[in-house]
Amino acid sequence: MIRLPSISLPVSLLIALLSVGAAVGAVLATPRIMAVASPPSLDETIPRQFGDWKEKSSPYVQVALATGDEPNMEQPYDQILMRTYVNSKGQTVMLALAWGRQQQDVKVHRPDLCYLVQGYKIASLESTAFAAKAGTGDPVYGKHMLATSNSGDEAVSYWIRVGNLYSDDPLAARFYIFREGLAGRVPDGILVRASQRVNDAQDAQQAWPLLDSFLMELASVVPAPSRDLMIR
Amino acid sequence: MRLDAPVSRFDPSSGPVVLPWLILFAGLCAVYVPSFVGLFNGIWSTDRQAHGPIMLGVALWLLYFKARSLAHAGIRIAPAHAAGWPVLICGLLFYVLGRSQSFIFFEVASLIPVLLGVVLIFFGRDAAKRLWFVFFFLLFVIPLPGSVVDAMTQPMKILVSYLAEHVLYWLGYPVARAGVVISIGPYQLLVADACAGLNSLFTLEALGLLYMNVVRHESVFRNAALALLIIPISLASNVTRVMVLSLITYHLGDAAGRSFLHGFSGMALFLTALLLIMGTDSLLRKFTGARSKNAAMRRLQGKSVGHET
Repeated sequence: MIRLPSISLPVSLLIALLSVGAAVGAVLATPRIMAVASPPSLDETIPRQFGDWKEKSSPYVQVALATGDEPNMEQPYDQILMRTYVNSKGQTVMLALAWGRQQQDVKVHRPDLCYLVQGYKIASLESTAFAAKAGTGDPVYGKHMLATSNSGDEAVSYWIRVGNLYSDDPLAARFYIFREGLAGRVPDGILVRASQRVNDAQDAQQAWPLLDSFLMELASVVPAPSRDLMIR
Repeated sequence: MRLDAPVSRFDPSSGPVVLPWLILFAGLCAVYVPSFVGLFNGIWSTDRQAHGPIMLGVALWLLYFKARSLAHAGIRIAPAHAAGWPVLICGLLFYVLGRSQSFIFFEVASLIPVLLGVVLIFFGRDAAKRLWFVFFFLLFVIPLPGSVVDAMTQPMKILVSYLAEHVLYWLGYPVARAGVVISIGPYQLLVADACAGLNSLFTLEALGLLYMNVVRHESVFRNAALALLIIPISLASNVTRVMVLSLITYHLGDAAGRSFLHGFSGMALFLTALLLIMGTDSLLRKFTGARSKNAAMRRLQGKSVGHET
């Protein structure tokens, strides 16, 4: 055993007090105001049929929404919805929504990473603006992505919203969450992703407008509380 | 250092004064027990950061080991208040920020300035210098941010899969690869995050540094070279592990690949790594041996004398 050298009692008291102060301070400074206190259930409120689109059961497994392979521990989302829709022309679109309260250790994963993990190559990734914010005319910034693999290519349209921020810069998102956190607020975030199987890059050029219109039509028909989750 | 500062020495005969230590310990526990409970229930229970508890255990042992040697070193105790308090308070502020904003990285990293501050306040710079390796080693206890793990794990996974595929192909096995999925014969293996070896790399790196620190190699070149070479060694070990798993699955079937043999492949990894580290170390010793032979002889003699006393 170590024979403990004697240390000053007042100094150790002061350090212990500062420590307890830090522990209490950390509890007090923890943000508690939820941006969305009682979110609607996406599964219940996202219509299974709208416009020309109708849900169908799909033989395909969609590309997962996380990058880790431990869904229970590293699952960063509170709600996940994955569906496949088909229209009267037989065009098939896969929809994936992932919503969650955002903190530094739980953040929306970028789809380009998710696809990469599943063995896709990202053939193209371009910024785009969706005219999805009905009424205000403000665009929603997102991406058009083409992912290729041995088992088939996918055209993807997506946006990521964190609070009021549409950004593909993870640092900007972190900084936003940090500022909100200092103000005592826990922001929420969502990934809105629509994808379609395509044969080549030519096909993708036609797929993106279809995916965009699909997402915008969806955003216009969902009930207001759910739309607030998708777009803000 | 002020000359008129009260100067004393660690004096085992003065007897322990336990109360101030208990108060100090309780204060630090109030700060860090919630953090470590959270880590054990959270990311430390995942495969990706499973090295965390091992590192914490080693760091605590190291702190004890070094502190004990401190007591025998008879170094000067000259409290460095001017340096210690700012370091301690900065550390605590980092903690408040990290804990409240769920920045686990800052929360745990704050342990280093907090402990450093405490050592400076009570014992001064000489003691802090003696303990530098403990503070350095605590870096391995800090969980890496998920984005960093993701950014480093993906390329490593793909590289490990790529190398394993090529070696197996070269050996004549029917093998193909898409991303991190290896197909061998009728079987498909997904190279998981754990196989990428980020945590085994960290564990090996940390244990390698620990080995070097405890053994006290005198050659700086040899220490630095070994620390760097642990990276390719870890990579090679992980490739070996993935290949061993592929071959077990190919020859013995899917069930075998999932059974205890999966754990066995983890042991194979550490055995491979250990053998490679020892081999590299002895090669380095041959390389630097001629120069530092005399120093080594002196050290050995000093050690044997130490054992006799």
